[in-house]
Amino acid sequence: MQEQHIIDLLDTRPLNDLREAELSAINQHTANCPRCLQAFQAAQLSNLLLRSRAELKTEPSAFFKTNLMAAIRDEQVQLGPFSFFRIWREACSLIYSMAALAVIIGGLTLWQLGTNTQNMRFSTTDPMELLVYGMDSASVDLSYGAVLMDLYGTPAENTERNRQEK
Amino acid sequence: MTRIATTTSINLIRHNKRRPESTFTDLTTEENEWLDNTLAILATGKERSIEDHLVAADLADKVLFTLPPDDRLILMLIDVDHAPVKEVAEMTGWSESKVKVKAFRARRRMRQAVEKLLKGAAN
Repeated sequence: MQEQHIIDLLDTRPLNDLREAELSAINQHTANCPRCLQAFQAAQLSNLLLRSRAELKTEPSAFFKTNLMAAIRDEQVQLGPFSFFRIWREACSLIYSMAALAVIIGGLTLWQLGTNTQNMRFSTTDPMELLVYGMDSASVDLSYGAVLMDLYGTPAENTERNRQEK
Repeated sequence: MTRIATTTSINLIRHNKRRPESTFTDLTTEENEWLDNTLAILATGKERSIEDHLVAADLADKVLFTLPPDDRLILMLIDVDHAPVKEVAEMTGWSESKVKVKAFRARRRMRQAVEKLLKGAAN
């Protein structure tokens, strides 16, 4: 330490934060080094000046307050779209899960509707209903006259003849 | 909020630029006397009067105005208010290592300014 200059040590930390060992090393070195002594005295003085400055409390000027408020307003204006983005970022997982739930519920509803129609279609045992729905296997081969015959019990020819007589 | 206040302060300080050389020649008689006596005061460690404090505060302002705004801010925050480096980094938006480097350079510039002042007072 005796050979090394202590100027760097003076600038590394505030003078008040230097340890006892460091201060004694500085004192030992400055006893023989006028350059470092001058630097040490200047460091002590600057420390004293800063402390004196800190003890003097000063209120910020009105101009500073105006500038500060303007800067805060600018910052808030700039943050506008970002705040929306932040809200979206926070809520997007919830929105996605809700959309997925809606799709699942819609799908289940459609599936349920399809199942009900199928059940209804095959639940009937009335031959007339089967005929109307076209589910009767025999209806495929039935002619128009046969259908009328089934419905009204009158031959189709008679109906035609009656119409002609009228 | 703190960062906005800090940035506004720096901008105001930058706006009121002052040159180092002009301030050193403007020392008052009291300030010159204070400088002459200060080394003795430091050596003896005796209590200073209120007038001494005021003169020292004025002189501190003059020396601080010779430094760049960033240096002034760092010195006031770290060396005077004893703010942690991490807190200063959050306030200014600089990295912690940058704050440390700036503090080192600010102390050096402040010390060199005071040395210049002492040499001026001696001559």
